[in-house]
Amino acid sequence: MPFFQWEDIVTAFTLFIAVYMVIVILFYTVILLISMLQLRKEYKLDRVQVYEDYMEGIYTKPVSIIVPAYNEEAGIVHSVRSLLSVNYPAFEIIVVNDGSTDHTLDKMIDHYDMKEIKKVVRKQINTKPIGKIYQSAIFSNLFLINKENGGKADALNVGLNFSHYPYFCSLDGDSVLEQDAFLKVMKPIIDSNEEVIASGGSVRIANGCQIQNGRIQKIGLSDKPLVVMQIIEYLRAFLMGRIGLSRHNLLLIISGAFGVFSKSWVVAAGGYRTDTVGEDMELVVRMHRLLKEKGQKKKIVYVPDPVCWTEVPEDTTFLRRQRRRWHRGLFESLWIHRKLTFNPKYGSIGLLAFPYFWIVEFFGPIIELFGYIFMLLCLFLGGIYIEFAILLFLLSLLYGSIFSMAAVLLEEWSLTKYPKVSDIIKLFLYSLTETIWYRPMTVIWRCEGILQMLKGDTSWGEMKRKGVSE
Amino acid sequence: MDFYTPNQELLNQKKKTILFSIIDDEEFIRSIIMRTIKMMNFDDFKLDLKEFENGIQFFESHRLEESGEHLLILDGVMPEMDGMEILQKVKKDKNRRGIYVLMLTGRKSEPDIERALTLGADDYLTKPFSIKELQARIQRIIKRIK
Amino acid sequence: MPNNELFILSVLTISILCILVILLVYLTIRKAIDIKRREKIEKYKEIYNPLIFQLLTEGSYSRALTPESRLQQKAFEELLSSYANVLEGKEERKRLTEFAEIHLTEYYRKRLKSKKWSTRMNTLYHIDDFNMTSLLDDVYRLTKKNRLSHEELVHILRILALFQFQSLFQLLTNHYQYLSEYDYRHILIRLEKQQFDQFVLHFHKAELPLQKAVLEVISIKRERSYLPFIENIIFSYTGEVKLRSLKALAEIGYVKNINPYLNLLYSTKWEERMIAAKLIGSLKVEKAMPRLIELLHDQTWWVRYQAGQSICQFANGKDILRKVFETSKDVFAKDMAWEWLHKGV
Repeated sequence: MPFFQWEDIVTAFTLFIAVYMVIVILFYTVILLISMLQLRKEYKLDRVQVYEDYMEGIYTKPVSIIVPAYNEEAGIVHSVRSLLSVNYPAFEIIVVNDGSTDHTLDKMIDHYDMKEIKKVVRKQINTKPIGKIYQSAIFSNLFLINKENGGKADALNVGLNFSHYPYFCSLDGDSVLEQDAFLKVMKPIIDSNEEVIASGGSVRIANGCQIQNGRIQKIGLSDKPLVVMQIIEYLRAFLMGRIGLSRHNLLLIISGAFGVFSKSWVVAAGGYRTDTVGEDMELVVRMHRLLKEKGQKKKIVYVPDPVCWTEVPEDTTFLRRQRRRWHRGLFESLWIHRKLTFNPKYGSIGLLAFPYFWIVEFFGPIIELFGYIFMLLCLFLGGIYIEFAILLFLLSLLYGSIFSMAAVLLEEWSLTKYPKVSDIIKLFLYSLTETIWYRPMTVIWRCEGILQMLKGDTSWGEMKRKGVSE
Repeated sequence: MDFYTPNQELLNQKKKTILFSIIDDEEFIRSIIMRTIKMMNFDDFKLDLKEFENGIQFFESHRLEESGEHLLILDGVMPEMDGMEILQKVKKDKNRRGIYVLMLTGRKSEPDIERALTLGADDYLTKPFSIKELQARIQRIIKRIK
Repeated sequence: MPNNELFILSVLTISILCILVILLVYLTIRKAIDIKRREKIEKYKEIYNPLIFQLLTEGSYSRALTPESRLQQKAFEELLSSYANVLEGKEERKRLTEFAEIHLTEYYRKRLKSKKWSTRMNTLYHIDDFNMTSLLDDVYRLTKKNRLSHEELVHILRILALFQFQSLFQLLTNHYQYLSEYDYRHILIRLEKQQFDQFVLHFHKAELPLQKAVLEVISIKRERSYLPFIENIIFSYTGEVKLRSLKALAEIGYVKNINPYLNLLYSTKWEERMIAAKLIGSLKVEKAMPRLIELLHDQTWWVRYQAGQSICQFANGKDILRKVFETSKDVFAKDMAWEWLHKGV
């Protein structure tokens, strides 16, 4: 009888979803514990070590800061300004104008008195052709490269080709770095004596903070619910996910906003790929792959202390575009390197990290979506199905809200970045509501990303920049 | 009640004013410099001390329009408008006399020191510094004012 | 049957929720207390700041400057730290140390024994910053601890080096031979001549990382008095040690007799060519100029770079670079010549 089969299917699906969620919850729990232990140790360390004695170490590890710029006339001068006063003695700034159609180029040339220089640039990575190269007459470590439009990855590669130093970092024009950002992020690299080849810094959300003089003057919590939820998401992703993963060298994403890489390794891996929207993650995966293939025991780590503050979308239209794009990027990175999945040759990256990203990060939203659909379905069907619905609801509560609440508490326990008591309570209560509105929303968007990908959509969409500083 | 003798009163009026302007983004350093100056003895001069968080604040206050000799103590590296830029702006008018600049620079930056001196700084002091040194440098500049 | 599992799950979820809420309450209270504490500390700092300033600059001691409560001590500590970062005058630092030793020694003695790693590390930072030799023995005693993290160990050794600890040499060679060159360098660089000499004296018996560190430190400090030692090493060792000692020589920038080093300009190892070029630059050896110009065309960027720098150090350096830029056919040599002509725009 059809009804009989129907019943079985619903039960089977529900069971499947439930089991999936239980496994993920267990996994998250393990990562949470690892993160707790890691944070506990570093907790309350007063500051970055006296860097007087590091000076020699620092001078052997100068950093090239590459700033890809596309139509950033509103904030580029300002961003560069605050980069110039960064608290790190050895660095250069390379702004790459990616064929902007506005006055980005002129503003830069004007404000910084930039003069054309003739330089031979070795093409270590293939890029679109570059035009003129400029150097500032006021700040001799500030350069500007003009090129035709080729996308962020291409611009980064150009910056890489030109850079003089063994380390580089890529910075979005809109991010505000903390004063000691470089000292904190370079510390593992300097300390490890070249064993660490890439180091990522924690990204926090700038909306709601007081920013003046290119510095964060006061940290504050935004009023907008959408922003608050994103803050919680970031806390969760950074404090739990990345710390845990980084501990065992499983870090797959150094967020687009801030990370320092060893130039030689990135060049050896081939630079950034221009045909994917998730170029940062893809690069890191490729580097891990290269390390394993060469049998080298290098590490990619992550610094939990926030070093970079960035602006996030404040309304749903842009947030939606962003999430769809991220999910597509995730897929592209995983798919390009699919051969690593479950491949023992690639050690823990192949056996743990990749499966995690496939199963939990990529397919997760699809399963969660079905979970929500089934929850509603079961409520309609009534009877014993209501219990299924409750089961699924509780599981998604654990999966979502509860871990988010734990992340909020973890932040307060270890880093205490938010100054007011009301901030923490607000964050906690908002995370309680996550399962009911925010999570389903992002799940749907991520699934939309998958749909887009299936349809072959490769656009970035337009992101409106509000400008971060007052 | 004190009575000035006619001579002393004339002397007082004839005292030049030195307007100190301290521009540094760190409050702690500003307070140290302020205290150091207050500790010093300036018999022949009247003092006017003011501190500023950054160059923009400084220029917006039209400080340089006040009459008297100006001594600026600048931090070399600040976001927004750093010491070098302020120095350039201040020394742009070649005819304007009476503005003296003491630059605070980072220790290991010889190019910075060079640039400061080329741009027209009257003296420089590297951070970390000694309070005695600071006093000595200020005195040196003051001697030139007399 | 879903009923049972459901029940367990609900109980689990609710209990976890309860735990989290309890944690929230705890953390909220803790935060509120911390905020009050922080306010008090800032108030104390405001009161103490002018007094400490007077103390550091004039040496005048105020009776109000006796920290008793924990918060007062923290306020002192933070103020002293800020001053330690900013001030470097001899007298000023001496007074700072004296003051810290009088008031914070006992406090730190206790904190060094804390079970928390971060407490001990923070205390070590402060002992370091404030140069509190009164705690030398306590710091030394920490090395006897069983489970010492690497970071802690290196920091302890660095402090001992700063305090010119007599037995540091024995400590490093008998107990800590497995440290990296990087660590040794961090430690040794703080030693003054007398203590450092021990390492130079026993150079030949030391392990490779220690040897490299010793040479590196001589490089950094550019100690001319070690010149005979360095030249000795150059001619009795090969490989990495030789390279490092050449580097030290180049940093010192002086030799009595340049001739034994001239053929290094033709060495097959790029590092040696580079270092020889550096030496030529420091000593301005005219007769080596033709070879220097050749090195501007070298296949290794570093060698070209160094050749450019060395040429600049000659009186007619810029003219020579200009000539190379105008006449050379090698695009990389031209580039390097150009770069050095325009150093420091």
